Amino acid sequence: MRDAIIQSLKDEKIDNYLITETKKTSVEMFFIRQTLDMTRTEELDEWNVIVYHDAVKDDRKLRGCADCSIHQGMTQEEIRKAIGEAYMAAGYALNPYYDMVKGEGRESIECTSSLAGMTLDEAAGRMAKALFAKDDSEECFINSAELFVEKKKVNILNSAGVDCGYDDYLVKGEFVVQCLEPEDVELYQSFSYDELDENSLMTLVENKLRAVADRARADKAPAAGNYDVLLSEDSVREVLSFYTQRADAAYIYQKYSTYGIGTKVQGDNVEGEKLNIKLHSSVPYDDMGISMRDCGLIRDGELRQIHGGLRLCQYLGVEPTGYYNKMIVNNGSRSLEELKKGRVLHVVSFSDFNMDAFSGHFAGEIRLAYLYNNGSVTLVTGGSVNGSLIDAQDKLTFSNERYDSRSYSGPYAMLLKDIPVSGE
Amino acid sequence: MSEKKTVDSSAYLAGIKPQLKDLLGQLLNKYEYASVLAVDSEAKQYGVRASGISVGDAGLLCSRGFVVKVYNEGEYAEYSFNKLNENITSQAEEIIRTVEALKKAVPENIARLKLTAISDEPVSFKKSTEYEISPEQLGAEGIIDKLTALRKRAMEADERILDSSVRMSYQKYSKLFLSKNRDMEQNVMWTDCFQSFAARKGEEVKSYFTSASNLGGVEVLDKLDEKIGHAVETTVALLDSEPMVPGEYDCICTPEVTGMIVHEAFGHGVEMDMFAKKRALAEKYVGEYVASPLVNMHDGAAAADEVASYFFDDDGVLAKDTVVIENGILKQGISDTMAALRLNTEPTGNSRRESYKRKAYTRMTNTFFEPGKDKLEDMIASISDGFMLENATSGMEDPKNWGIQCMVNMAREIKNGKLTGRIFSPIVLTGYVPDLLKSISMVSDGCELSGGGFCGKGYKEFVKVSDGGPCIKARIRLG
Repeated sequence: MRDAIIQSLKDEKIDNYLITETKKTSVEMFFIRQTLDMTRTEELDEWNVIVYHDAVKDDRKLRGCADCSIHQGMTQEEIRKAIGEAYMAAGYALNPYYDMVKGEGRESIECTSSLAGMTLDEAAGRMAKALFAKDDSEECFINSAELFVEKKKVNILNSAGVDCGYDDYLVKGEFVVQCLEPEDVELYQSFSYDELDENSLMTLVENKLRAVADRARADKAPAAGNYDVLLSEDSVREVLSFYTQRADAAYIYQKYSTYGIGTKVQGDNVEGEKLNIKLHSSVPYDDMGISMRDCGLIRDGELRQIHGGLRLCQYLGVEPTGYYNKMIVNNGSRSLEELKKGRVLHVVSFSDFNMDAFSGHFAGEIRLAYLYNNGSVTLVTGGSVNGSLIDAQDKLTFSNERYDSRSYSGPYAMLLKDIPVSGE
Repeated sequence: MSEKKTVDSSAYLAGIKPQLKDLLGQLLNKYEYASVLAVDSEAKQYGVRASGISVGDAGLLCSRGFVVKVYNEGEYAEYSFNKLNENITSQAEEIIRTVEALKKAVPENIARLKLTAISDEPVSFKKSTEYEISPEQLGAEGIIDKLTALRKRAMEADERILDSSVRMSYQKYSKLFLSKNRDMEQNVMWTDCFQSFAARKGEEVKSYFTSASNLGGVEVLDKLDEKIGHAVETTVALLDSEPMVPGEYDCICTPEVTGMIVHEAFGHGVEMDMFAKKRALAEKYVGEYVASPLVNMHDGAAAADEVASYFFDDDGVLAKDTVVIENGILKQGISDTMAALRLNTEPTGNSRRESYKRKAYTRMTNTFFEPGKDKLEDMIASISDGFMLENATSGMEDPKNWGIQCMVNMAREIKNGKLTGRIFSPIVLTGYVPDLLKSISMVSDGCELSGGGFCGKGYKEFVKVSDGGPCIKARIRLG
């Protein structure tokens, strides 16, 4: 396929291009209770070509690009036609010129994950066993689950000398825990690991079984009003994604964000804790072939680096970093128990929770929350949180306990002051 | 209006059909039931925004490949692939070896679900949808020129508009479904377009969006133009919006907000794969009032001509128009093939896959409330203290407990039967689904469907859907 694509590029006299091959094998198991519903296998070899079309207009150097999928089974003539049409379309999508990533020689990085040492079938079997290891109660149990074990081999080749490749392994899935009494309720949970992390999955299931038992006992919404809201686990990442998005070259270039190097992202008068955020990629190259390095995004509340893709970073005059998939945040100063002091609403499960980086608002409907009120604890469900991070960001407090997932490593919990909550 | 044309068949699928039949035949030597779904899908996306112009294939929608479903001794398995070998015999052997090896990898303490074989009544046809102007006819240059003009119009309408981005996508797909007794081909094209508008006030960026979609071609682009004036005015007005005072209010939902309630709050709850897992409260309410007698709800690929219309689903079941709620009474859910086997019911043509690479689940298609008889102005006049909800942004299902979580961009205040001009934003809708649906007291006489977005099953498995209906008046908890 690679030779056929390169021949087509030559036939069409296209000098600037990027070719990506993704070979993916995935094995999948679907369960209802502790019963296998179905197995699936995915075996793919996919090719994508980006072509660059250069032009000069009014003495300005321009570059357009377009991508096209090259499907298995295409004839040489079909490949040539697809690439030729993409090149023509790219000529109508001209933007200010930018450089491609340059490279020298072949670089291939082998995966060191524990998943690389076994077959996908074996890994799936072991993770399935871990998934159900703590599922031993008739009252609170795993209602259903999906498990995916994937291996990807990615090769990236461009006309500027990049020729790199890497392996990537992943275990991911989701499960729903259900509790029958006193009220029949459920909670959803997803998971994702780079390693054969049987222990983390077992712990996660155990914690969620405990949470759904509490959810079954929660029977009323909180009283409407303003609360100090404590968020934990993935909700912390979701709120902090405001800062990574606002520091993205795409947001800055389009003026959706006013961030620049040195911006005090939480404002000038921070009464709470100052943010320290790094970005990390779990794969060694981004889609354009940029070699990924950790990015020190925010230090002590101050923006130190803008991140983003090839084109817009060049327009802004900053070094392209590539796209990251993990946020690493420094520990906070307070223990979780200290953060629960006073009148605090700890929301541990939303039906959905979203941070809008445009408006700075975060919102979600409460599935389960613990209302701490100077020593007493009440379980609540229903109502919603609808707050503004722009208003709350100068008084943030973080826990010194940590939480890790494929996309986040940082404080387990964060406290936001005086947040509007709808309820009874 | 241009003359209607029909979407062409895939020359690729026509060429490999004999090999696929050979593969199917070899699988049927081993399995009691086998089917092959072959997909050849072309999809492109064009965008014009402050960061520049973009054009290219539209990600997941652009694909060519196959999924095989096999059944033996009560158990189903699937194998997705995109490379058809010259030696079909060895490929069939490899599929069988892989499928059987994975079954053996399942831990021994896990039981196996035993189901009956899929009913395979003979059906054979070839059908295509229609369009007026194909993307090829307008071409990349013509499409980008139109998008550029739409953006320019928005940007020039008010100097406070920070940005307006416009995109158009289309998918033209051909699917071939083969089993022992079925040989069906469908060729479908839909197009959608979307325009967002942004304005800044301090650190906060307020945004609004419009969209249009059709079962057809790029003729849909003309619909965006007529919405620009209202969108610009509203985006600017949002700069002075106020935070919502939490509480329960009389509300009028515009058709896209009605659509979000139909889809997110109720539609997901009648997906019968949730019945099979005992995850949906609706299962216990079939035959009972779940909504006001004014409410009639449909779902189906054959229920409307929109982006989720097709002739057969991804398990080879013919498309239907399912009446889900009739005069407020829940009549039935919607179902994919596997859920119907588990529940011993009839599938409703709702087996849908994100692509040939993924499992089929029960998924909505075109989902909507029927129109009523009320006039919108009478509905507004009937409210002494409430809101008109506009610009649905996101929602999440809760089939188990019928909790509502929907977000809308804005609420327009209504006092003493009149819109006051005050705007509140953003808005979270919460509450209990039947409470909301039973509180519907007025239903307008119009019905609009929009298919600008995708629907996920939880947080994945995105498929194209449309939803909508009339304006409804209901009592809703806002936060």
